[in-house]
Amino acid sequence: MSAEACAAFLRRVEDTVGLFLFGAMLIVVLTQVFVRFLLYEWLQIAWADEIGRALLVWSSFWGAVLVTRESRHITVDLLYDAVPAPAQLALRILGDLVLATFLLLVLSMGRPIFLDSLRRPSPATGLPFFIFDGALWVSSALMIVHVVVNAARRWRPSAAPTVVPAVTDPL
Amino acid sequence: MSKAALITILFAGTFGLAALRVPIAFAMGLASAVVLYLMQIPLSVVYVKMTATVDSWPFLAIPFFLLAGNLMTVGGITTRLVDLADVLVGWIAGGLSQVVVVVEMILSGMTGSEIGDAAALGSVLVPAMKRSGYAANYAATIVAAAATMGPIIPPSIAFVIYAAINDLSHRSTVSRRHRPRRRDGPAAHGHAIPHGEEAPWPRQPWPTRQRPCAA
Repeated sequence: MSAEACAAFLRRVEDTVGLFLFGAMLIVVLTQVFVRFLLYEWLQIAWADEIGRALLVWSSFWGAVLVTRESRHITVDLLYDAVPAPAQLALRILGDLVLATFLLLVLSMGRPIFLDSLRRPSPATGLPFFIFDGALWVSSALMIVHVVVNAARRWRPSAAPTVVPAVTDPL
Repeated sequence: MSKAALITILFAGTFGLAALRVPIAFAMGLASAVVLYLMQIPLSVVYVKMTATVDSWPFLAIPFFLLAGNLMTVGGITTRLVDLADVLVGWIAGGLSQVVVVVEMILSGMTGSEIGDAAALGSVLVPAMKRSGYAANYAATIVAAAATMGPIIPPSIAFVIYAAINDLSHRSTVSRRHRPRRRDGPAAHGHAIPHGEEAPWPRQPWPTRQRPCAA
């Protein structure tokens, strides 16, 4: 499998997971609200609170992965637009280095917490605490992959330019 | 190291990196990590706080605000709101720019996201304003200015975050909602009227039978 095919496969997987996380979060929260306000005398779903929050944590950090993949983090372009091309390249390298440094820091500092979360049960559902503490670690690892891939694409002169999809989504 | 020096490093690091086109989230993160290191606080706190901050039930409102705005735009509610506002205030000087302000006031009470509001309104109203002869920069400006009402008319993302961080009831922020609505809506209308009088921009015709239908 070529590198481009791998990237396309990873892209599909990430998009699907992102869709699943958001859809599951929507269903869980709506169910929780419905039960809490209408069926509270007969039914209580304590797990929905915990699962809803866990899905929010995963959705948030998964969103950061998707944004990193598209190089669409919020940046201030005031200086970048005013400097010549070589300086712009230097600023991009600086940006990549800062991203990689911070993400590596998160990975290394979070490793003990991440490993501990695999064993520790969560209070309401008894699932591993990974459902909360695993999101940042997994997302940081994926973000590092994307930072490296994006940087490599920029440096390879023969490569096709990074295609950022048009912003059709108003949000 | 003194507190003043640490605070200086924190802010200079954040704003300095952000000015150099480092993504803002990472500029804040790295500057904070450096300051924590200088304060000899274990850096694992970065990991814990990043997760714990998002792990909040009230914050679930934020993605749903964005979803609501998206659904309203895709489902055509925004277009219908524009039609309603057009009938109500389109005949005033400044025509469509008045419509922008009214629709934004209604949208702000539902979506709570200024960026979402600006995107939703801009996609519908900026092309319409340009077709009607408005200058493109004026159309963009009035949409951007009106969208700033988004976070100050509750419920909004800003109020949700404020209430969650300060451990307040969200209802306590909603109860004060009428103050900004009364002040800022008319202010934006007032801004739009002189421009409408100066420039040869068309007013919409006075609605006759449309008004009760739209309402």
